[in-house]
Amino acid sequence: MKRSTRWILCVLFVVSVFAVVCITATSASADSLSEAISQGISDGKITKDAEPGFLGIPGAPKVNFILGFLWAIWVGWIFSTVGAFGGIMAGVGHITIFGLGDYAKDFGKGYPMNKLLTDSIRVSNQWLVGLSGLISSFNYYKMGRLVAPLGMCLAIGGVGGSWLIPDLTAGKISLKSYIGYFGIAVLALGIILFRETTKGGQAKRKKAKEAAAAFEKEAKKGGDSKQGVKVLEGSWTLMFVALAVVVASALWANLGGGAKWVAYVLALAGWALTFFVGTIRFSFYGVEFKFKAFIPMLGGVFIAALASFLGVGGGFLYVPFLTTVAGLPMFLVAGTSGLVVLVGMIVSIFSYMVGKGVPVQWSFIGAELVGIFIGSMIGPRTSKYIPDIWLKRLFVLLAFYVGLRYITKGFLGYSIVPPF
Amino acid sequence: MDFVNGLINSIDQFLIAPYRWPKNPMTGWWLGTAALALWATLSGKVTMALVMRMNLSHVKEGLAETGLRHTQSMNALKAGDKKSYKAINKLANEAYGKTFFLQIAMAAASLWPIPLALGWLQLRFSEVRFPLLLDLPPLRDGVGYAFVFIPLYILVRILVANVARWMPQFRKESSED
Repeated sequence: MKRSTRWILCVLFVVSVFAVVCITATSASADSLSEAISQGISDGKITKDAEPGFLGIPGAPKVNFILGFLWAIWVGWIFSTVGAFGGIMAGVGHITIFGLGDYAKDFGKGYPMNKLLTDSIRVSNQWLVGLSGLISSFNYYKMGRLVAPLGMCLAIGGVGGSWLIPDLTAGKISLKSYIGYFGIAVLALGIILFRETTKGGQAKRKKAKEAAAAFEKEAKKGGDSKQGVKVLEGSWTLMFVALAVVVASALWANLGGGAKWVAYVLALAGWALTFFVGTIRFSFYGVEFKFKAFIPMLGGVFIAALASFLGVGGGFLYVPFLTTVAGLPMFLVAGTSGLVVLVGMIVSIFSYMVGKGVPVQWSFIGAELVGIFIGSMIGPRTSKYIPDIWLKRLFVLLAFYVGLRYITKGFLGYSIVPPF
Repeated sequence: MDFVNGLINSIDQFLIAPYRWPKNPMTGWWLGTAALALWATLSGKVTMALVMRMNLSHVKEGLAETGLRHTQSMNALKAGDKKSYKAINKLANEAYGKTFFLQIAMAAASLWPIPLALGWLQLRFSEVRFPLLLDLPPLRDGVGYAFVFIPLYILVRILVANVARWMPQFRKESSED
């Protein structure tokens, strides 16, 4: 069967599931923000006539746009000098710098407004990185640097993980717990960065550069970097079916008013199908690569779930997963991981905003995007004055500080680093 | 009032004008929203062109190093030296990572008008719902401004990109050229 025919059948299957959902589902739930505000007013935690602040909530802190803008410049500077840590810094801004975290905590654990603000912070984190990921994924698609079967298997896991986690956790995680888990992720990243700055890490890097120099001659001859990916073996039919089934599960979960168990069954069925896809072989640059289809699927589930739970991209997890577990060359990792991050984020943001109706303050996101691109112009100009190793050391320090502070505040209720 | 909402209010009369030109409110809605999508696209293109001009040499350097390390790693793999391949591939990933995240930050220059446009639409049209042709239970309340603006923005962006191909000052917008 032609690939275009498979795509058409896939789309028809998804559309028919959407139609069944629409015909049989119950009405959408009421506006969660209005409900949370009404409950806050009736419980005396919100003063009805107070001046509206963040998200239009009476008495909420007025987000300082200048502070948000300056913090976003810092985030853009980090993106353009060190890279992956930028998403984490954006998250730190939303949680701590803008005072939203403290306001949410004042409502107390388990309170609806606390949970709604936590979800809004998670979605705000994702919008920033997700919007930008759209551009990079499109560029890599144009250049043909995507390994389609690998991307599909990752997406099969990623799409399921991206809606399941918001579904299981939206409205159930208090800000305190979220901060604690966020701190664990930041500390883990700090430990990984720290290893690269040690003598051993630096020695490995030196050896790699020496090895690279040995292949310098071949590189200067002009290696053909435009050789495309050729898929040699793999069950396309099963992969398409699995992808369609998982996407259908996400649609059912977001739009169906009841019978949620159908969505869970569809997701599990999609994942189970990858165990029958078998081995996928492809060649790139004249070299053959192969992988079992269920391995990137499981990786996709775990990484998308983690990214969706924390609200940051997961990009820093896909790259080591694809290079270490799958052993892929960088050119293929770049495009494939970018696409999967994008797919996971679209489903995750869609799940939050349509399925659970979480609000976002648009003007603030806009101001942050402006700050980020200004930071991206400053970064290249300052990076020539700051050696790489010192940049990494600076971020290791930041990661340890933020990680320890968030873990202890989240799980112990107090910080062991100042301000206490 | 904060700075950004002040800015949105100051251009309110400019943005609402196309909505009022036609007599038919629905025609006005589509015309005005298309005009908003056009302003968002053009503002993004202008700022993106500025950022590209400032960062192009840095991006090209990063891409050149990435390409070199990638070719070196593939040559090591073809020569059967898996250890060197892994080590050089790691260098390639580092070089790629820096350029990739730089380009993500630069992409914000193209996209910043979108949330501001959505913020303005929220101020003006948050209560407006558009019923669909079919009575679908999950969408019985109809759809809102975002449901119309986002697809319209994508369409306008594609049209502007096709037109921009003929204009030399916008040709270098993509750093992959």
